[in-house]
Amino acid sequence: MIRSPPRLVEEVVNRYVERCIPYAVMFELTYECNLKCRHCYVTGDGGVELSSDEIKGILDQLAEMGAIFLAFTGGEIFTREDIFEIAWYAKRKGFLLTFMSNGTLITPETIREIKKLKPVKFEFSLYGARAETHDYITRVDGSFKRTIEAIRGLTGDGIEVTVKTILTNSNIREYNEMETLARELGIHPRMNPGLSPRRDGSSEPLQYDLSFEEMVEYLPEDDGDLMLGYLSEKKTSERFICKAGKAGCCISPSGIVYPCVMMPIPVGDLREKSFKEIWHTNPARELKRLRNLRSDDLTTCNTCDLAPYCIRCPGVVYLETGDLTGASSSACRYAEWRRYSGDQRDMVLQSTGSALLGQTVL
Amino acid sequence: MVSLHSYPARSDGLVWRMVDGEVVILTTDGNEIHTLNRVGSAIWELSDGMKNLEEIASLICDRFEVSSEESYADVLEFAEELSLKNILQVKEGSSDD
Ligand code: SF4
Repeated sequence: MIRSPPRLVEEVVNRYVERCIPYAVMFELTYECNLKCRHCYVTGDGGVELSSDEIKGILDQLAEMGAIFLAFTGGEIFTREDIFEIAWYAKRKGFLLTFMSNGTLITPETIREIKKLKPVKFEFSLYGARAETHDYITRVDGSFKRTIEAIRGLTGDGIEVTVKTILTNSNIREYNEMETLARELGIHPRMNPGLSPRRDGSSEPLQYDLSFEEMVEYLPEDDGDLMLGYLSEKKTSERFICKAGKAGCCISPSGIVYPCVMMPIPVGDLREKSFKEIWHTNPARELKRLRNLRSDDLTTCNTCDLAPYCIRCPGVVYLETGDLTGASSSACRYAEWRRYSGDQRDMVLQSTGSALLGQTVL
Repeated sequence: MVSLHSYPARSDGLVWRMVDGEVVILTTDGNEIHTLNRVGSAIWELSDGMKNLEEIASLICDRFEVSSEESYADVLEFAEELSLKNILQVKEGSSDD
C-alpha cells in the first residue's frame, strides 16, 4: 500500500512529467532589485505586480494541482514588504520552499523570521571572493559585506544554504579564493559559467562571458560540479530535453506563466485564466510545441561530437537563438572545454600510471 | 498496538499532495518520499484523527466495493506500516477528546 524504494523520487518526477503536473515552480515575486548586476538576464514585462491575495490564490491552485517545490525569486524578493506573509501562507499550504536572494536587505529580524519559517533551501548570489570584485559586478558598494553577513547569519540552523556564483571574466581569477571562502562560511558553492543573453534578447551580459582560453587557464579539471555533463550517467537525448513546460514552470510578478525562467515564452495570464486552464485544459500552442519536442528535433546537437560533454539548456538556447531546437554557442564552448579537460586529465592519469608502474618494476 | 478502535492521524512535519488519485508524501526537508496506492490514498485522506479505523474501513468498503474483511485487513496493515515509519500517529482516542 505504501512504496518507498530508493529510486522513487525519479519515478515520482517522471510521473509528474508524463502527466504534465507542475512539480517545481519558480515564482518571481517582483522585478524590483536594489542591485544592478552587470550580467543580469532579468528584464521586466511592464505588468503590475500581483497583490498578496492574488499570489495566495495562485498558491492555492498550485497546491491543488500537486505542486511540491516552490522557489521564490525575483528581482530581489526582500524588496516586497509582504514576503513573509506570502511565505508563511505557502508553508502552511505544504510547499517545500526555496528562497533566492542577494541577501543585502536581510536584517537580524529577517534572519530570525527565516529561521522560524525554515525554508528547505536558501540560495544566495555571490559574485566574487573580494568586496571590490563582487561590488564591481553588482554596481553597489557595500553589497559584498551585506551578503556575507546574511550568509553567516543563516548558516548552521538546519536550513541548506547554498551560494551560487556565475563565473565571469571579472571574477574567474578568484575561483580558488571563492572555494576557500565557501569552506570558511561552511557552505557548498555552486560555481559555473552560466551567462545568457537578457530576456529581451540583448546580448550585453555576454561581454562578461568566459573565453575558452580563460576556462582552460582557470577552471579546475577535477571539479565534479563543472564536469557534470561529462560525468553524467544520463544519455544525451535525456539530458537535452528538460522538464520545462511539463513538470516545471515559472510565474512572473504580474501573473504571466512561462515554461521556465529562461524561456520568456508567455503561455497564459493568471489574472485572466486559472492555472489549470493554462496548463491542462487549454494549453497554448507554444506550450504544446514545447511538450512535443523530441531529441530527434535537435538536428545539430544530435550529430555533434561534443554532445557527451555538453549540458545544453533549452532555455539558454532559446535566449541565444530565439529557437528551442538549435545549438547554444555558450554550451558548445563549455563542452569543448570539458572534452579538452577530460583529455588532459586522462593524459595525466596515464602518465602517472606508467610512472608508478615503472617504480614497481624497478 | 493498532486495533480497529485506534484513531489514525497524519503526522505533522510532512507535506503531501494528491496526484491523479494517488498520494505523494515528503518529509519537510524533501529528503524522504513515499507514495500510496489508491486504497492507501483514500485511507490517508480519511486519517484526520477524528475517525477510528473501523469507521474508515466501512467508508473504504463502500468506496472500493471490497468485503468488510478485506477493508479491515487493509486499514490495519496501513496503520501499522505507516505508524512504524512515523508518517501516521495512532491514538486510542479521537483528536477531539
Ligand atoms: S556542444 Fe553545441 S552543438 Fe554540440 S550538443 Fe552541445 S549545444 Fe549542441
